[in-house]
Amino acid sequence: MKDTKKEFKPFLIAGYTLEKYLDRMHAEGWAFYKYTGPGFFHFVRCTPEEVRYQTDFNPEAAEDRAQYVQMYQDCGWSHVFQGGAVYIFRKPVRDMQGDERVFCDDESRMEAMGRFFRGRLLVMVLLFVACVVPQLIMSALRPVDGWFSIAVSVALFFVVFLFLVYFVIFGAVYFQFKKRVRRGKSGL
Amino acid sequence: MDAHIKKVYVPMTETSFYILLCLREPNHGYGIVQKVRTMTEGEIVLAPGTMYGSLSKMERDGLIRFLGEEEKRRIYQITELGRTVLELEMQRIERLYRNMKEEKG
Repeated sequence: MKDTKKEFKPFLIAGYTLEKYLDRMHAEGWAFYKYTGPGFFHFVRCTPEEVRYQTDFNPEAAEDRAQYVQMYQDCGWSHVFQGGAVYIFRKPVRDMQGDERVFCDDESRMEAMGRFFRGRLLVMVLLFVACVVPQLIMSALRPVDGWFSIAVSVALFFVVFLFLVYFVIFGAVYFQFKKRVRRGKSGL
Repeated sequence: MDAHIKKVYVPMTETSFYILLCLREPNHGYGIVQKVRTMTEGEIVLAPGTMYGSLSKMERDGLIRFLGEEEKRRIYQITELGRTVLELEMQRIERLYRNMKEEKG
């Protein structure tokens, strides 16, 4: 029996949905230990336990990462993974005093959420503007002749379609998340 | 006091209030968490993400200052501006309490 496994979840964006997914995996005996892009979550077999995973997006923490992680550890949260400015922590529910999260008021939750969505969206918009838009313009100006040209245009429209799908999903997650944060349900 | 400080901190969140209250003596983030837990008999448990964000923001805004580091923990203390803001908040809470008592009879 294998002691590790990976699952492909391309549309899981850091936040409530991701946290719930990792909580469920841990309860089933799979502890999350790393993420590899795009969309692969790696797990190692563990004793099934009720554990809470929480995400934070904090570019500022890069300057004093050791102190940032120490603060979480002091409060009983184990640092599990860091990818860029996204940090993932977990804490066993049995060690909690009531309903613990890594943010305890709406203001800090909203700030973290704003940082995360601005950072993520900025990267995607820059990618779109720098790589896709120039290709679109060139494609529009170039006359369509031959199968290669048609193939390039089809590929390009497919990429544009993928970006649009990403933006729509991102927008939906953002509004859903905003609603949840207002109800005080999520970590990030 | 400039408009930004007034807008952000008057009135302030419960977390900000406890941070300023505790930092009248030098302390680090986790020290504040412990102190608040004791002070409120476990009613309020400040969360690490909130603490980290609040301390960074308050340091940037000049309400607290960084004194040094001890075993990967950053020690802070309240500044003069921080004391002024805390005093305003205390007066606001005292007024609330007084009005509540008067209305309650």
